[in-house]
Amino acid sequence: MLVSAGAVSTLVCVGGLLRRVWLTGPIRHTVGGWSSPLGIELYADGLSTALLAVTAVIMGTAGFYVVDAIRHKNGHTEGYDSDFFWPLWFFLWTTFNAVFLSRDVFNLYITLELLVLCAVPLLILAGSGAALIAGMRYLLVAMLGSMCYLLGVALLYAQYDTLSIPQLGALMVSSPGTAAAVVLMTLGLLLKTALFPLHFWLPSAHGNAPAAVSALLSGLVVKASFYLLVRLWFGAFAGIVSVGAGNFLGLLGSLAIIWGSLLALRQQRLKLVIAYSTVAQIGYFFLLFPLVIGGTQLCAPSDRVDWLTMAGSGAMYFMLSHALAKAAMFLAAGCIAHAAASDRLNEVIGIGRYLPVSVFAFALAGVSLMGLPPSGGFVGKWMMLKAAFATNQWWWAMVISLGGLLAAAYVFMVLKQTVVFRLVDIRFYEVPRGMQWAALLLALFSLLLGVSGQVPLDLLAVGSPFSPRAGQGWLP
Amino acid sequence: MNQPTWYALTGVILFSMGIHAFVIRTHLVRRILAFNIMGSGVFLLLVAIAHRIPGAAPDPVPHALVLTGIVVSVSFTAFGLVLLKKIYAKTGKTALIDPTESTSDQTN
Amino acid sequence: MTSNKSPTTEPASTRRPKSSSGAAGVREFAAEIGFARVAFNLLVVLLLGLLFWTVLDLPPQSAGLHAKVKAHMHVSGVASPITAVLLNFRGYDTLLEIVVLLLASIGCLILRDAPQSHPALAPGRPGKWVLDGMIHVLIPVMLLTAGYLLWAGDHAPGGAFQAGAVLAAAGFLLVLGNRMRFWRTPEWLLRLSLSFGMIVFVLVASVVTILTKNLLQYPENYAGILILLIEISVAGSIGCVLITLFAGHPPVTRTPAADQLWHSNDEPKE
Repeated sequence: MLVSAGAVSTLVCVGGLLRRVWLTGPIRHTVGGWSSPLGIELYADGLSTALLAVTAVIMGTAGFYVVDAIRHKNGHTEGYDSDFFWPLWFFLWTTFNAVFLSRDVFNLYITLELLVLCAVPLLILAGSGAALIAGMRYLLVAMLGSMCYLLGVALLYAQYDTLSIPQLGALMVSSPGTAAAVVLMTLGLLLKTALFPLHFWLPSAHGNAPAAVSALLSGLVVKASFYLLVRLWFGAFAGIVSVGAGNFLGLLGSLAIIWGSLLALRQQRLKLVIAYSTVAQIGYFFLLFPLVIGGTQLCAPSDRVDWLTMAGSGAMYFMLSHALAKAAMFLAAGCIAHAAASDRLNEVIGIGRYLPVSVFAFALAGVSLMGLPPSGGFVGKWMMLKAAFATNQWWWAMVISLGGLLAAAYVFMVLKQTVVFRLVDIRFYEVPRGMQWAALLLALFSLLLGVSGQVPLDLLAVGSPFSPRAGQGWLP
Repeated sequence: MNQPTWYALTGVILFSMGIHAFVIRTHLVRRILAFNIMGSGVFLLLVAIAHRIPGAAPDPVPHALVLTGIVVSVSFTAFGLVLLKKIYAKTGKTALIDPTESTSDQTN
Repeated sequence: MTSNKSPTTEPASTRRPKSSSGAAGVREFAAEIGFARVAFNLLVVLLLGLLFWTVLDLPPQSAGLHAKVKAHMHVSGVASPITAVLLNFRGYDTLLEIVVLLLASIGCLILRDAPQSHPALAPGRPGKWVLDGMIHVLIPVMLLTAGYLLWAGDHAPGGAFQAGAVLAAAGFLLVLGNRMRFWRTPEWLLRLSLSFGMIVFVLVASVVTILTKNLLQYPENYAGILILLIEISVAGSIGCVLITLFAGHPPVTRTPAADQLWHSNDEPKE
């Protein structure tokens, strides 16, 4: 009861904010009435509200999944019945909202720490030794990442006397201190985002958490640090970073796509397949950097704004639809694991007959990951492909297409196992219907994102950070 | 080379020592300590930044950042140590084991 | 859990044959320390060099935001610039920081084991008289110090965190002396005391947001009293959180075998 009240009130608030941003453009709020650099400012533009909305949808639906799992507890509840589950859940939700609205590098540091301190306890609620170790590894990576980030923040403050991203964007010039800050902050955030080759901690964390928590970790938590990276690179660092640096991130992203997909194909457990798929899909997000930064030099000045906005919006669109699809996949995997009491691929053979809804949800989410029409993943990839050709960077287009094929391979590998006809009849545990429909609902949302077409794109264009002069700030 | 510069240099040395030990060492207590040394380095740097004009009152903002940073670092250290004790009680290990092993024995 | 875990890494020296002389020896030596480690050491040295260069290159005579803070001190409600930054200008950071502490204590509560007192310090052991005497003398002084630090935060270094830390130290002493039965604390009281600071902070934030239409903007003339209210409640909660972090998990009992196990992973990584 209290849980639904909290969820509904947050949804209403996010809806209200969405409406205001949509109607009146970006909003700035000075916390405590103190404008930066003295105080902290909150901003809401199209990108942040879109992320807030997707967060609300995922948290709400996954919350419904958990409520249903607790109500029909038969056997294991993966730690959902802990007293501390819902407090952590809502702290996590609040933290997402704080991350997406803040533009103060130090405030963002605290929100990132909050994210870790919500995510790790939620992960270890699973209770197994593997989950504890995965949680420890995640905690250590987060510690290293946040210290690097904090040192970068200190160096920025030492040079520019401000912590606000828009102000830094206007002030920053090339200097050794700036270079050190950019390197340290980027490194810290790459660790937290798990970009290849810093992804080593992700599969065990995402593969061992309770299913609903995996959905949040894969769907949202890695996006939060990536989002911050986007804000920094296209806000504070916009005048500093070179094409080479963007290409380097793009190269790591491409390697992530190939390496993550290949490892996904070799996994024996369903949740690990999905976790490695996250490693691969994170690679796509990073193609944003070469497409936009490299595009600034490689395409004609007359239509530069259009193509860069398209590349940026495409990558963000892809990220949003990946959040929905990946959350749906983990929830579906949770249902399957609940039914078979295991998520080993050789123990879920033929489970499609008993759980058609879950397997269908998995397949729909897979459509989005592969980037087939009419999913949201298709629209995002298509825009990135178009931008790659228009800005004369066809090599990234090759990577995008190859990644789609590899994604198809591992999605079909799972589907083949689950829908195959099995002669020997094995008993599966019953799965509460609410859990199954929650997964399907999220998969449908990721599909809906694709068919809704222009609306999300118009929202993302409100105060878009990807135009060449975005570094000068979003607001007058 | 005034006094704050020496503090700042010491800070970055501490940070580098910390990051080195954090990555090279395996014992979790050492790694958590290394995290704290990195933190001390950053805080020392911040305090040095606050006091760059000799004789003048220091800039209070870095001081506030240090206080906040210390609280965050205490929270992480405490939670990390408690988690370590739980892992030790459950597996008898004080270091992280190979991920392939840790993920293979888990049913969900 | 323990059955299928075998030692995954042995020290490199035990696995590799002894090196011969000359160039081969150098190569063997490099292999023995491990290429990755050499590369990482180089990377750290590079980082250190970059940071040194950075520090020496920083603008030497910058006052930072000192002037801006000073210009707004008269409306901040306190006299100490650091407290003004912490609880007024950047109060939102501090609100989040209280949540960080609360979350750390939640994390520890999730992992707690069955209740027990500290076996090493049960009553009647040698040293009891010293401990008891210290408790009698120190606890009142510590409480007084905590109160002073809280009050001093208004105009000098000090404030909620320092006061909370001293309160926590007093608590540690009580727990060690078996005067505070941490595990006997009723669950509701424990949770309330842990979250009390955050609840008060959030309530104040909500009320002033309704009054001034701005998150955490204190109404004129009320800043001082509201900051004091927040500081008192936050100091109490910080003390409780730190005690929970400390006392929630009794120490590992030491035996020679346990010591050996504890140090068994104490090797540099390859």
